[in-house]
Amino acid sequence: MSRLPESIHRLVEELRKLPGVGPKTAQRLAFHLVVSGKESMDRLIAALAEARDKVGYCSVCGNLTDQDPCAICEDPKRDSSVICVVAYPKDVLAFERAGAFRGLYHVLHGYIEPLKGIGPEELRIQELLKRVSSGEVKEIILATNPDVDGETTALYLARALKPLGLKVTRLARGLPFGADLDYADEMTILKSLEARREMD
Amino acid sequence: MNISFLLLKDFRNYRHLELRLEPGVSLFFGRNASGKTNLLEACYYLSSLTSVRAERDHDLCRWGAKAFAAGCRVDDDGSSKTIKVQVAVEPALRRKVTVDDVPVRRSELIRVLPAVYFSPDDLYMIKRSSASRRKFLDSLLGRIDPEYARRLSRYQDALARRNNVLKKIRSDPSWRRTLESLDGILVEAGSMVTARRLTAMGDLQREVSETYAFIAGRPCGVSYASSIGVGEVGGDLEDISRKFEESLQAKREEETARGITLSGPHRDDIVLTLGGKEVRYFGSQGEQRSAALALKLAEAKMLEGAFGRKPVLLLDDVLSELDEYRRKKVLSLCDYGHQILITATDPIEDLAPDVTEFRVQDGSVEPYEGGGMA
Ligand SMILES: Nc1ncnc2c1ncn2[C@@H]1O[C@H](COP(=O)(O)OP(=O)(O)OP(=O)(O)O)[C@@H](O)[C@H]1O
Ligand SMILES: [Mg+2]
Ligand SMILES: [Zn+2]
Repeated sequence: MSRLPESIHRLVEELRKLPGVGPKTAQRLAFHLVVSGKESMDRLIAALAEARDKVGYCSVCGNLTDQDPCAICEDPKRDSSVICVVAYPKDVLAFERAGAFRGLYHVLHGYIEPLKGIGPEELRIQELLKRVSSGEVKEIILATNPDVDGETTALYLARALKPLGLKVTRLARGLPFGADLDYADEMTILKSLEARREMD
Repeated sequence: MNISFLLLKDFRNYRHLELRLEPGVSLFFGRNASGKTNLLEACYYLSSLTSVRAERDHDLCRWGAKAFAAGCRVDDDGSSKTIKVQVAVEPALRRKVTVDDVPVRRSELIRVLPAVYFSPDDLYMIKRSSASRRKFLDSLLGRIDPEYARRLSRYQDALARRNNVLKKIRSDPSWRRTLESLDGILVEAGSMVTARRLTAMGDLQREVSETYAFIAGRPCGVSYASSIGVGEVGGDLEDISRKFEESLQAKREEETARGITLSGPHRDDIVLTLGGKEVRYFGSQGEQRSAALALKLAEAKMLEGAFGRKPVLLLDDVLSELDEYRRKKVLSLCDYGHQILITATDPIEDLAPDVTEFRVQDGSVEPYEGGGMA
């Protein structure tokens, strides 16, 4: 495909940067968009622009939102004495889909990953410590992955939180070793939430 | 138990092979590069889905082909089972594994077809560094107990991260608290690995000593050298965890200075001795060969203990290196119910009373009726 019009070529290159999209898929998507007509492309452009302008991170929990604080943090019906700590916004989505959790979230934006040189300073840990210092929070649920990076992060947090007199719990290993939260089905999430155990 | 039929399609240099096999001893002879090792490799692959020499399944696929298949029928006590493995390597790797046409996990295969692969390189287990002996033990335990393989891989994950953190601490002490968290994971996984190894050592000691005596006429000593100072056999998990933690504490300074983890199952060793002297340093060539052979025969015994079937013994080029006495000893194992598949470059006279012989040539295998020129 050497004779692609320059503008389509640029579109393909941008699409390729998306996760799970290889060169062939990118090309198929680009052709599909181009032939789908002006109207449908305008809608996509408008949606992209809106997301760019409105979506940001919640200043309280770090989740993706188009209002600050986010709808979950602002919801008076949610139990503000429990915070579920996750690594990424997609993990919040997994919990919300399962629909079992009525507390608040805290998104770390990553794991401690020594192999990539990512240390605790690069995560939203200070923000979490500040949040719990108000005294309203009674329990922290650590919902990090069961792999080594997830476990390291959980142990690190437990050590930092325990001295503050909080109940610190960990999701039960209903999830097999190394399995990611966002691949787990709703039933698994429910069960591992129910069977969470206190960390010592 | 024995393989009674083997089928290969586009496996290494075999386009298509259908081979009937008898219980007892089979000898495959042929020139270098004719396909003898490939044949034994296929048998081992059907037992473990791993190759004795390739890292990736891609290498097993005949050059130019996009998929390969291997299958066999295994007879045991009048009943028989069929293993089939179909692998597409292009466009992406896809494997289909069945026993009697029912899809199974990898770890099921060894229950149907336990197999041990012997090669002249086994000698390295005796001569080289502790890594090769750990690999022997880890591979054996991983096949007997898939849970062990998972724990070991978790331990190795934690270890790689810990070593990284140790190196970082030198310039940035704030990593210390991450180190403490990693230590928890390292100790938990590492203690379970150590405990499982120590349990296995009890059996391994007995089997190695017995098989060494069987092939060389005297017993051989085997012990586990632990970097955290836990006892030979037994030792409960708590005790191991405590010793592991203490050892990490004691070496903390040296570890940060060197940037590596100095205690744990990755630093342990299996030590073989004859008359109290280490075979690795003091054994003669022959004694070292016998020790290597004893380790592998012990592996066969351990697999038999775990799965209740006599493993197929795959002897690749090893017979030519044994003297008459030890050769007879090894071959006599077929009287105890082991099927033995042997490769050699030439037919071997008077190998054993009823050997089935095959000539291997350019990826084809033909029955060979005696070497007489008459
Ligand atoms: N993926 C493959 N596709 C086709 N041929 C292959 C493949 N991998 C290896 N071969 C070839 O298979 C041939 C036979 O290899 P094999 O190791 O079985 O020989 P061998 O009979 O054991 O020889 P030796 O006596 O030297 O040990 C080699 O020439 C090798 O190049
Ligand atoms: Mg060979
Ligand atoms: Zn929020």
